Amino acid sequence: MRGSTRAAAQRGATAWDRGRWLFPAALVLACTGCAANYQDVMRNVSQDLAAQQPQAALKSLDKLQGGGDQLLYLLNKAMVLRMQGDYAASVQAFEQAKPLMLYLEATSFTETAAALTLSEGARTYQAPLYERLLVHVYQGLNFLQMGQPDQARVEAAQVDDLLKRLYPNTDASPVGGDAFPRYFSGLVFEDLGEYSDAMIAYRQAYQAYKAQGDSDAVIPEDLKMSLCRFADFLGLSDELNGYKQRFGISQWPTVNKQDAQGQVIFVFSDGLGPLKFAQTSPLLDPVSGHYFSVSLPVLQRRPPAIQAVDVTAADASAHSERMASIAADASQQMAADRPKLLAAEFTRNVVRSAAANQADKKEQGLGTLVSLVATIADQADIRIWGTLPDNIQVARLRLPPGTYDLTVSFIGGGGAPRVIKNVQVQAGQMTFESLQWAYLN
Amino acid sequence: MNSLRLTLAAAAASLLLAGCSSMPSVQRIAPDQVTDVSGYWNDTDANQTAQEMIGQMLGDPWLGNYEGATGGKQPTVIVGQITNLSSEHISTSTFIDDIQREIINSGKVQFVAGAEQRSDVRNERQDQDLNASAGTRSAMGQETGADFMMQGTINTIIDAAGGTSVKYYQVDLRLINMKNNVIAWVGQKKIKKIVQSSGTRF
Repeated sequence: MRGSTRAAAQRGATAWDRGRWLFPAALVLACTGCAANYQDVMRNVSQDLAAQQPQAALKSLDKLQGGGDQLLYLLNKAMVLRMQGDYAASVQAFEQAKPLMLYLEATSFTETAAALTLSEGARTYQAPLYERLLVHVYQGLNFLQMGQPDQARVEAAQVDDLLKRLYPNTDASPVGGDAFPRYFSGLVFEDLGEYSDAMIAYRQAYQAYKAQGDSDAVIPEDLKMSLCRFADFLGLSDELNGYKQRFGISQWPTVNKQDAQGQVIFVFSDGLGPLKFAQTSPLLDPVSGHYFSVSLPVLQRRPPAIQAVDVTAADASAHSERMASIAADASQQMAADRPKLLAAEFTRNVVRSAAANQADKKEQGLGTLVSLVATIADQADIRIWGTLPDNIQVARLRLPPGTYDLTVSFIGGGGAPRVIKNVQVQAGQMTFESLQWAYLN
Repeated sequence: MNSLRLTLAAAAASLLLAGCSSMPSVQRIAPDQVTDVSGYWNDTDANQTAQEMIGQMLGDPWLGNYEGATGGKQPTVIVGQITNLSSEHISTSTFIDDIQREIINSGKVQFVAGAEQRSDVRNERQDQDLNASAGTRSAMGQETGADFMMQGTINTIIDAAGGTSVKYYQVDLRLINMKNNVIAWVGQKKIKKIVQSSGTRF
């Protein structure tokens, strides 16, 4: 009787030991479920947006509220609100996201410990630099479309502050993503008639584009024209000659504070940006019977059907030009993050191996189970701001003052043209209009 | 190896802790109490700047010069645009309200309503023309024109390295004579803040 009690106690102790080993792993599995949940939510959101149903997308996003995905919730929400034209609500969501991004710059002890021992997904989502810069671009666009260029100026200043703070020696991102935000800043300063600041921002955009492509061939035509226009206006003759020679441009619309014409700047956000998936390579060590794995995120671009847009108003028309590729920015960021992710993966495997060895000492074969559960739980962090577009295009029209209906024709897909009604154009002023069209192939 | 298990358990527990949230705590404080939470421009900055700059303005010679030239007449001032050139979304309307309050309460300068408020009052006067009795009606064309317009800018310079940033705010106000565009007074207020951010969190 006593012997059977002892055996039962031993069985109980073994079960307790096993439970103690499996408890953290089970928690990690639950956590991995969060990342999977994000993927599910974003799949629903993408479908809603592709069906032009932003209201439904907002409902789907509610599931992300709170916890480690709060920043993603706010960023996606702000973007969807923009898509349905609720700029004021979008402004609020972006403003809530900004202090959170700043707070998350600090390293968390608990999250780092969890990420280095269990899974990369244990970290609260922190936006990479290109996403943080695009917050200011879309927030600036919100303000411009609400007729508040002074507030948009604040966003341009915040782009500059962020880059200066993070990279004080260069004021430029080493991983790209800053070219379009700098160009956008130039547009904002141009709109406010602050031409020196516009020139500085256009110059910074030029340097950033050039750094991306390592050649003048990648510089957008509108930026080339703007550099010539403002170098001419500000009397920077040597600089102007340099641009003329490099770009092969000899004519440009002059900058004139008393311009009789107005401009429409049409910003087209094309499709939806890339998603991330986990690429996991499990490995069974035949000697120890323990599992190891390397799980890294891979990007999957969602190529938009629309190649470009033609924007027409009265007799004027303009063809859009690609100014930013979010897919390329995300890819560059991921390449930069890869060594860090590999090092963390190595650490997790070491911890897993030690835990499995220890488990084997308690009960032969338990180590295999422990390492298997931990390997399953160790999935790459696949979160990304998924409602960003694949690319951003800009078309600039010069028009006499008046009220216009703007016709946007999609090239390559996207269905019937869209008409934006009652666009007010004032002499010497810039009017900003935008459209995000989540039409996918 | 026990320590390893402990690490795993601690890491797992940290997942739970990281997800925990608590209800916000609320404490009522006096409106004039200095509260610097984030280091951004706040109500204390707006109040202090308005008080100091208007005090400075009312103590400067332009006021005596004007009263001397007009036989003791108080100047009438209107607040025009105060442009935010900083990298923060500063509510200039709150700042303008603070300036208006300081000017009006000084009793040394008359103050007229801004363009938006005037438009409201004019609409009401038009309505009175139609609907109010003759004895209670306010007549059109009796408004007091401003002698000076106040304009200004708020600017920031931020110098940051690591977790430390120095925020330097500069507020410039000027008073422009409406008749001849002469700048009658220029005032400046500078605020410098050092903001330390922790590089770590729980």
